[in-house]
Amino acid sequence: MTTVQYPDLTTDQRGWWAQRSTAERLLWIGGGLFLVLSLARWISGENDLTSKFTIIETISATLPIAMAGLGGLLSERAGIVNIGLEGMMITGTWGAGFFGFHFGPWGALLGGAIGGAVGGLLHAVATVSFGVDHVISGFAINLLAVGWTRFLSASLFKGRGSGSETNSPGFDTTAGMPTIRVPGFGNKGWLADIERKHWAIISDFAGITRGLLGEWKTYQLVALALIPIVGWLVWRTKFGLRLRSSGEKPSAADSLGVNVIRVRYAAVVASGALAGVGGALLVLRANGAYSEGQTNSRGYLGLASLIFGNWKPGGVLGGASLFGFLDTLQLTASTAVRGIYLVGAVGCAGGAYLFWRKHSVRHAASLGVVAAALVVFYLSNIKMNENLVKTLPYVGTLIVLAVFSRRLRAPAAAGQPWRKGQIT
Amino acid sequence: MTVNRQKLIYAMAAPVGAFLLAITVAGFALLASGKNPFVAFKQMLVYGFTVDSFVITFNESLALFVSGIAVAIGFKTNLFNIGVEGQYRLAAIIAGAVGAGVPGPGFFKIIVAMLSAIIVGALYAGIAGALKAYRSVNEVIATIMLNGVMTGLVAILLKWGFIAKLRDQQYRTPRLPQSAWFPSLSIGGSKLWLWGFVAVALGFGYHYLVNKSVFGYELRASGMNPGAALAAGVNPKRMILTTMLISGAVAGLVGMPNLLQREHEFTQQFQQGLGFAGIAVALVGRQKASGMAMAALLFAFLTRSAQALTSPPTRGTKEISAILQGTMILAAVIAYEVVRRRAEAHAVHEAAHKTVAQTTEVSV
Repeated sequence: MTTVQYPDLTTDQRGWWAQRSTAERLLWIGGGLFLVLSLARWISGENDLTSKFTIIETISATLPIAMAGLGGLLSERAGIVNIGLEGMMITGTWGAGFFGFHFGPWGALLGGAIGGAVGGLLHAVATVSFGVDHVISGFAINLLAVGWTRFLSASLFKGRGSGSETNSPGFDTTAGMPTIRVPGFGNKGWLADIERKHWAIISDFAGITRGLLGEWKTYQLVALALIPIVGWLVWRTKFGLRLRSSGEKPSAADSLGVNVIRVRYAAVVASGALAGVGGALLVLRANGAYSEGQTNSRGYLGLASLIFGNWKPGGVLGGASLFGFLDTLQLTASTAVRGIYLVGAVGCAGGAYLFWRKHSVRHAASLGVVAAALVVFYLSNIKMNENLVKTLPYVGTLIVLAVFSRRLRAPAAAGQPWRKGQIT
Repeated sequence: MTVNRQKLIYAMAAPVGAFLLAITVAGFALLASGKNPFVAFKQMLVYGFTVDSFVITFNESLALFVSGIAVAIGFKTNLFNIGVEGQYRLAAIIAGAVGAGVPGPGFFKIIVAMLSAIIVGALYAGIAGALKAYRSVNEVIATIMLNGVMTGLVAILLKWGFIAKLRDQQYRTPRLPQSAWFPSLSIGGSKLWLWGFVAVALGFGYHYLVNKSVFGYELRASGMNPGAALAAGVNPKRMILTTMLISGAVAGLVGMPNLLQREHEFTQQFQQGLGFAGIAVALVGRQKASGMAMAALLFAFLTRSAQALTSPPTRGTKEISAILQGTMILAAVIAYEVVRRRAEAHAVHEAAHKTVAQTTEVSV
């Protein structure tokens, strides 16, 4: 007689990481990153790596990219690939420049959203109604945005104050939009003293806390709030369920009575509006002046952060922060840039250790080699070329895609044209 | 015969309609900015229809055309090479340096420069191809990222003494000697670029490759129905990689008319945006050699004739050409889709009629 072997269902068989909740994972990732950064800062003495100033600038550089990524999330979760984020961001910067000049900073935010939404509407008409290839339509919108903003600037900005065909006259970005400073995190007080001591870990903690909590522009808070709002909208509401089902299997959603066309229109227009808000943040950051080429491919970076983040809001923020951090180091703290070698080395060494514990020797060895190479780079005192830093976000995305592309999962129907009544 | 005429009407309706729509939109834009659109368009036409303008239109269309071919090769098998921009700029800087550096007579320098451009373009596009084939990374994202990498890479190369040096306040690759300038023909006050022969040869080569060769057959087959192509023995991975390599090789040549006929050196100001313009050319020209040639000429003509709008009474509306081109691209892709659906519906309708006719015959 044979005994039946039942699978053990009473204990969780998944790996340790898979068992963690989202909050726990975020804590682990955040903690790990903090340790890497602070170690690298301590060893290299590049104190700007974790200073308050760097963190504040990183936030300012991250949010526009995150907004574009969030826009992409809405659109792609509904099944429409959005390469046009860059163009929508461009029309957003223009709208923000125009409305901001006339109605102040709140007008700029709204104007950015409107400008982006117009681009989104065009994309929706082309892809949802006419079934044009999503990538082609998005690309056409990027070209269109450049042409239209240039023309509009020539006719509406030229001759007004400092305006020209490539620039809008700036405006007072603080009117009605104060910078919120939390007492205790300023340049006086014991936290600031601790940061100036440059102790390992403790000073880093002080610097990062001061950066994260010390000072927020109102519009940055608005943008930050949009991230959980979109997450809630897409995963916790009826509309979100409809949106996601339109992106996974539109025919199934359609057969259950979801108006796929309408949902997709809403998603793509909102997607443009979010990218436009990202553009508005850029304008507000630049003392209220729109300028041609201001987005500087940030729409594409938003798209990259969307993929980086596996089509999830937290992931988008994570990817955008990485790009924002690299951007900041290159712009404001060129000496700290050399520290990137060490950050990379410490990070790779940590990864190698984790792989080694999981007995995957090959991965551990290759990561170890990379870490060693980075240490050699660091020790040999090669100055990190600023142009090389510029390429890092893109190279990083390529590497992540190459390594993880099979673990990332795009919405199943994203990019496929669908007509009402179509079965597959 | 009627079918052919219908086909022709379908084929022409979309681009002509798109063009008319673009003109209308641009006209309203001009009107809104307080300019008379008819005056502006007349000004453009008068300026565009001069010998000088014809020559310049032709010259400028060459790079657009080649760029269109590079993109179109990918399109044929559903690969979207957005990276032509990165491929041609990287190819141009290397070609400029290698061409000037290699010893030998002028024509040899030209050949070496073009060959190195082809190799660099192919290799750079090959990265995206390999990532797509072996790591299933979306080629659109990969080529966008490679464009970003290129910007930094070119900046690094420009400051590397081996490639470029500081001259007249700017980093430049060594200047090609006059013997290594591609020949041109003087017409009126302008020079007609004889690089046009290379472009025309590329156009014929593209047509032959896609429509007449075995490779082109496999290319189109895997574009139209990957499953069927796979079953027929086409290796999809090899197909992706080869297509990207060829597309990149052609893309490498995009910067050549500029390098060999105008600039003779690479600087940060080396003409930008040709890769993106090529996508527009491939879309409007429907990936047909003749169509893309016309699209390239049209875009070059619009850019050239818009120069007329820098003088009164319509001064300051030069940007209208950007609107014209942008609107036309979007309108064209929509119009093609509409026409395709119409043609499809028409075909289904015909077939249904035929079937009905046959079944009634049998039953009687």
